[in-house]
Amino acid sequence: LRLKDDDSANSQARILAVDDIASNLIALQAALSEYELVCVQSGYEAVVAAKDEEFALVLLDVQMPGIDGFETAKLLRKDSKSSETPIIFLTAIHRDDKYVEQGYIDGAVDYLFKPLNIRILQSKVSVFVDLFRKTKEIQRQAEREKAYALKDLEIRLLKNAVEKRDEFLSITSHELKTPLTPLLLQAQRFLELIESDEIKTFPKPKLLKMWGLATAQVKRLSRLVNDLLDLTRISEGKLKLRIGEFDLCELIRRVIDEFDHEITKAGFKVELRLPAAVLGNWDESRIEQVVVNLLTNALRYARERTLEISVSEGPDEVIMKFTDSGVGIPEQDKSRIFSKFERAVSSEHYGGLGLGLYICKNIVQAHGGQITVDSTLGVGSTFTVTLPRTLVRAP
Amino acid sequence: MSMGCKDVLLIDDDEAVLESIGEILESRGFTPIFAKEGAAALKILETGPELPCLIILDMMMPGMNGWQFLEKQSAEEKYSKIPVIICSAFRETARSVRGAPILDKPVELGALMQAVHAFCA
Repeated sequence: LRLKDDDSANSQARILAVDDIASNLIALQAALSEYELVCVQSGYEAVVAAKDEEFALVLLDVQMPGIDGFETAKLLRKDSKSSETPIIFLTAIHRDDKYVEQGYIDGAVDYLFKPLNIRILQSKVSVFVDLFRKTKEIQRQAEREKAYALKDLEIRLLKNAVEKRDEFLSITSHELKTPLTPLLLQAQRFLELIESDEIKTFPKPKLLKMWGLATAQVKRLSRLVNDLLDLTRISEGKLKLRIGEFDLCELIRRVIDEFDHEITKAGFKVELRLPAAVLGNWDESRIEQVVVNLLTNALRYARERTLEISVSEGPDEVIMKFTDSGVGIPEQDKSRIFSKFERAVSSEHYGGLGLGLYICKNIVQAHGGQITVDSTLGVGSTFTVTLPRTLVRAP
Repeated sequence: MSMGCKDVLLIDDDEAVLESIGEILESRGFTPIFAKEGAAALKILETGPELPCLIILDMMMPGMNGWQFLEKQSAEEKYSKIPVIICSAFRETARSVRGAPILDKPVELGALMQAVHAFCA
């Protein structure tokens, strides 16, 4: 923790003494020998000196050639460093109440009349220097407390980040190991069947089903690894797009076909509201990733088994909507779900790395578009992806 | 549970895990019964015609997780005698359940059958 260590500078409460007559300054120095005085002989020099340093007190002669004491006080009040500095006017001739009043208006806190009574001078100076030191001490204390509070916040944020990372590593290892179980078991089962010659009589459909299960695990693993690679690319700012013209509607139909098995198994009904074709210049494989992610999220989280995917066209952009009739997303989670390692349902364990929407958001933003969610609890959620028809370079 | 019992209750949220372990158990003459989380498993225990001779339990599941299931299962005298094997990809998680035998994921065929045979003939 680094605090500005200016204790010595601050306890050094210096006094600015302003008088055009040198002998008066010498007298002040003698009377106030226990303090450090900065002596100047004109209002102008006083203003300059007060710009560089915050003084504990200004002892200001009223009657000076050039700018007099009243003018000097006004100027000192305008400067941020000296706006609060107490000023004691020293005057021989302006004893008249009118002048004294003017002095207070211009910022004096006190008046001393020449010839100066040394005791009174010393005691008044001592009060103001004390006040200055105490004020400074309070300020320093406040700064220290603020610095500690900031540090504390920083530590909490860092701890939180470390916790999130550890949790992510733990989930990642869990997610990578889970597909390995069926993969390893199927491989060992095949070996067993081959070694025992049982494979010759083993029913072929069952064999093919086992084979399908094994290869599906390899695909699952490769998807996880791709997500991890994307995460690295995004955090390094290296998410590259390969732009080419394609039909978004055709892509959606193709993805739905590919996921037909999962959709049927999940008991889902997917309704497509698509124009015949919507052409645009985007990165096809990246947009496919967005479609797959939004689809698999709906399959995973939506309780009611319906999903509507629609595409509509604006003059400059294309809007793709995924509307499910699920549990909905609470207001406070709506922005969180687009962050990495986050799920709307975090207390319970759902499969996956919690990277899907984070990757989607980054892909869509790299295209100059945006992804948003509208949701009503108990009714459902709509994820809306807006893509500019021609790529706007992300800044 | 009767001596001739061949029913094994598999509790895991991952379908591929259920399918692959189930096929192996079947090939050895066992009858796998599947549940995707704890509450579904309890329902099977309550309503099934016969109690299984063994439960193979994943810990991290949506819905009722492994710990919650163990709590309910061990509190019910009828079910508390059914042996449970913990099957988890989290080593520490699996070891947090004291006394239960453990199958670490990825599960090996040999280790799986050894564990099963330890409890079921």
